[in-house]
Amino acid sequence: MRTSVSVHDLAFRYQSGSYELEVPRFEVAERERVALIGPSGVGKTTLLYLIAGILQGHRGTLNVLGESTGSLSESRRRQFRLSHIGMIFQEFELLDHLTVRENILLPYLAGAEQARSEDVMERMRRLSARAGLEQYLGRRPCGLSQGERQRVAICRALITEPSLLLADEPTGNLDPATTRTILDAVFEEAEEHQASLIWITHDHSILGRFDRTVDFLAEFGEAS
Amino acid sequence: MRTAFLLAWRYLTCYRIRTGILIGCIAIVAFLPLAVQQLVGHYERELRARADETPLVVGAPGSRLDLLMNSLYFRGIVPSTISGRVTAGIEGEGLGHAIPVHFRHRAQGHPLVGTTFEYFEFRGARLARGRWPGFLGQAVVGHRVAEAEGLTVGSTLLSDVENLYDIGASYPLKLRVVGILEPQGNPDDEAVFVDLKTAWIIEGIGHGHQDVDENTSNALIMERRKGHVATNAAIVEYTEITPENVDRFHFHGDPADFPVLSFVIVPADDKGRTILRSRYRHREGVQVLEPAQALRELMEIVFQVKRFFDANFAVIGVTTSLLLFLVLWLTRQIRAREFETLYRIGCSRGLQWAVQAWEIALVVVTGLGLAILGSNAVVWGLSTGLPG
Repeated sequence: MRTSVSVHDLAFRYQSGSYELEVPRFEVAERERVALIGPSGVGKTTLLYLIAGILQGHRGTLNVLGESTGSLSESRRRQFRLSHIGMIFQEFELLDHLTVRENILLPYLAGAEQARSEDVMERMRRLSARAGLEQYLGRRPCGLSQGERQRVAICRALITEPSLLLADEPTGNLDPATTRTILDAVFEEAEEHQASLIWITHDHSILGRFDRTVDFLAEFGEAS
Repeated sequence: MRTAFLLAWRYLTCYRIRTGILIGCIAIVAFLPLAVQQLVGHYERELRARADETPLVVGAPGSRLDLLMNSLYFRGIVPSTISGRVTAGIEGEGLGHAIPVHFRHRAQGHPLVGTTFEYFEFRGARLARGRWPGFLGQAVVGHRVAEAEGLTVGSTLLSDVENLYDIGASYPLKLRVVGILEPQGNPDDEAVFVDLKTAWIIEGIGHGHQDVDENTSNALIMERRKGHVATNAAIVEYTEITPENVDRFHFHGDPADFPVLSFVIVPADDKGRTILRSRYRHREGVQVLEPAQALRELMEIVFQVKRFFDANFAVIGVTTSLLLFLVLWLTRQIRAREFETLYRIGCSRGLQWAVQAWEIALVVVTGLGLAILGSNAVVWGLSTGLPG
């Protein structure tokens, strides 16, 4: 089976030098759904950002969707992220001065490769309908509930039909029912687009839904 | 670029109060210097245009600026006058001609100017309605006076009483409007023009009253001698000059000695100008001024004051700019997560700066636009009350 993410001997150190993460080996297969667990502060989010190309390691190799992202320029990494990777954050990170529609389309506003075509608008309508957001498209997200806001964030991550979805504890603040709904929606989209999924979570009750669970602390040890 | 503009626009319109305050600050800070600049410029242009077209002014010694403001712009009051004798002979010598300007009184609050028909020719004034005054007690009014007082040809207006409690003073004279000037865009728009003799009547040098002879009631007579009858204050003085009583108006004394505020001297040529300037410069009891030069002196004073204001505005501008910079810097701190999100999604750092640049540009341009509009509106509003 082909791999979506392949990490070998990757090391990262923050500029302050006080924090170093080492990942000897980490792989995610195509269409695989991986849950990443571990206590706070061990480096889960840092690994996710390294895979996304937001951070860059100082050693080792990182291959994402067949591209050695470590060798790409900052601009190319950004473009690669915009086109192939969908990110979902714990705090949703919506822009309250934009409407729900504009938040969902933000990757296109930011310059995704595809133009803002009728296909994209159709996909936006389909995603928002599936997330139950059609009636909120013209509203600003600040008036929505936590669950609705997270659904907007997920629609934003999925709008570009990414091949890799990175979720940083997106259901951490949600109740079990909403968590289930959101997992269903993301899994369905990932399945439909044959996307791989790496999902950071502290919620052990949902681990059964993933293909594999990686215990960060047991696998890589604590960042020093 | 379009994305940056959209994001900036959305942010500014979402937080309207914050945006409004920022725009208001910039508009207020920019408005004051702009308005002062425009007002000074407006005054200077209008004053200079009038001064440049007036070659020489001869008046009583004293403040040059007072004489300038009084004779050209009908502002202020100069107590000293000269007589028509100072200009006697210049026409005969072919050096030029003198136009009397006698401004000592007001009519319903508007400057009342006694002059001759030559004045209108010299200023290029034309009538919008009616005819030129050819009769004692008749007046032509500037178009703003007509507008302000609702005057038409045939209306009347009263000269003002200088001192309400001076029972010995002359009565107000009812003036009949026979013409209304076209808009000139100069102080003539705000003045009431009468014949020089009418101005003297208003001043009390000439007057008209009921006939006095041997048959006049003793109740009106203060002293009766052979060939001379002195009346008391009970005699009826005319307060309006009509075809019926015009013959009863008369002056005591030689008109050549009657007071005139100043004369506008229109030299025949450069030689005449040089001779007249030199002649009046060395003549006792008069002063000659070249309005353009006198105005430059006046504007120098104005600009000195303006420089003080400019320095003040500069300090306020720098202070406000620093405060705005602080606001923007703090805003960037507050919005750090928003910008970080944009970056994580895949936006360039450049887009973030472009968004902020657009926001600053929109706020500054709108603020400056409002300031320019406001200052233009103020200048336009005030200019309707300016001399020209």
